Amino acid sequence: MSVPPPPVASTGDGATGDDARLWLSSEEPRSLVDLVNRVLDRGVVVTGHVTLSVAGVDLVYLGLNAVLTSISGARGSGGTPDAPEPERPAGTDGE
Amino acid sequence: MLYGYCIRRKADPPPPDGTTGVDGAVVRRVEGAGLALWLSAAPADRNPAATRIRDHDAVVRVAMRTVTPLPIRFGTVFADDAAARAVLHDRATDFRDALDRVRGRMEVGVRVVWDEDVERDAAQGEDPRPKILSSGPFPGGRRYLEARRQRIESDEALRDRAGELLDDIEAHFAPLGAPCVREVMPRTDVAGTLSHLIGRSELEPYRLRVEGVRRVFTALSIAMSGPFAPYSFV
Repeated sequence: MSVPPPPVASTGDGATGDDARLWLSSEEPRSLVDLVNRVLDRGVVVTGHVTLSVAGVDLVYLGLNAVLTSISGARGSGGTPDAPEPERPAGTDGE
Repeated sequence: MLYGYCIRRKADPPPPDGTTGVDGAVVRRVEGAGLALWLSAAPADRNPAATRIRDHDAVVRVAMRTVTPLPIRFGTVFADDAAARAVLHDRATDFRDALDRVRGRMEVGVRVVWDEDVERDAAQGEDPRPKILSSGPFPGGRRYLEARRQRIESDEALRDRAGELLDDIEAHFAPLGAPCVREVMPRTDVAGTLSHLIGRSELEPYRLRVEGVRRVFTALSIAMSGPFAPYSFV
């Protein structure tokens, strides 16, 4: 993995050039134990589902850590990010 | 398939040119609902090899250089850009609330290292019952079951002691007023961990507090970890 040098300009988050250097990758073997615990077991969990209809019956499949498609993609409506989202029927939230 | 690293606001800086992630894939972002999701082409498998874990975190750390992101758990993939945008739209409120919580902050922590044998003896106290080694010998089923019962009680006592130790240590960090996540994991060498969400300018005060805790708990080894992106607080 390659990482470009850190920027120096300050941002609205309070980060500064000195602060940015804190976030250069660490190759210390000791840190891997703490890193693994966080990267594998914590962080935002994203689940997704695809709503399919078979013979008029809605079936919902839940895929852990895999978002198979958007609702519009599953319906083949060709929805685009700039187009208004079609109204979703009840029970088709992204959770 | 696309592999996800972190979520930020659309107005935050994009991935710098040349940023690569897992297996050397170029990192870009997709936008939706005023948010942005950093991602790259997904590897053929999601084997959590050490190099990939570091690659994942390295991309999150690139984001941390400018604005604190919401780090995504390792191994999260999306079918395409539309699927990624759908997640941003579906959970926009949750993500914005979480971004507000972690804004200007980072995660640090301590790992409490102990001697299990010493702590197990201390946790069991003066148990008058003769100890039966869990490794045997077991001339009968009754003796085996007694050994099992003693082991279970010993494990429970050890877990309680680990919890008490973490409570005592956590009290020393309480004046920081920082959100804390703790994990009790009584093992041969580790009693548990504490993770704190602190401001970006509070690293040195945190280090000093860790030094103070070490001077109090001289029988333990207190290892500081971090800073990290706020994996434990999203």
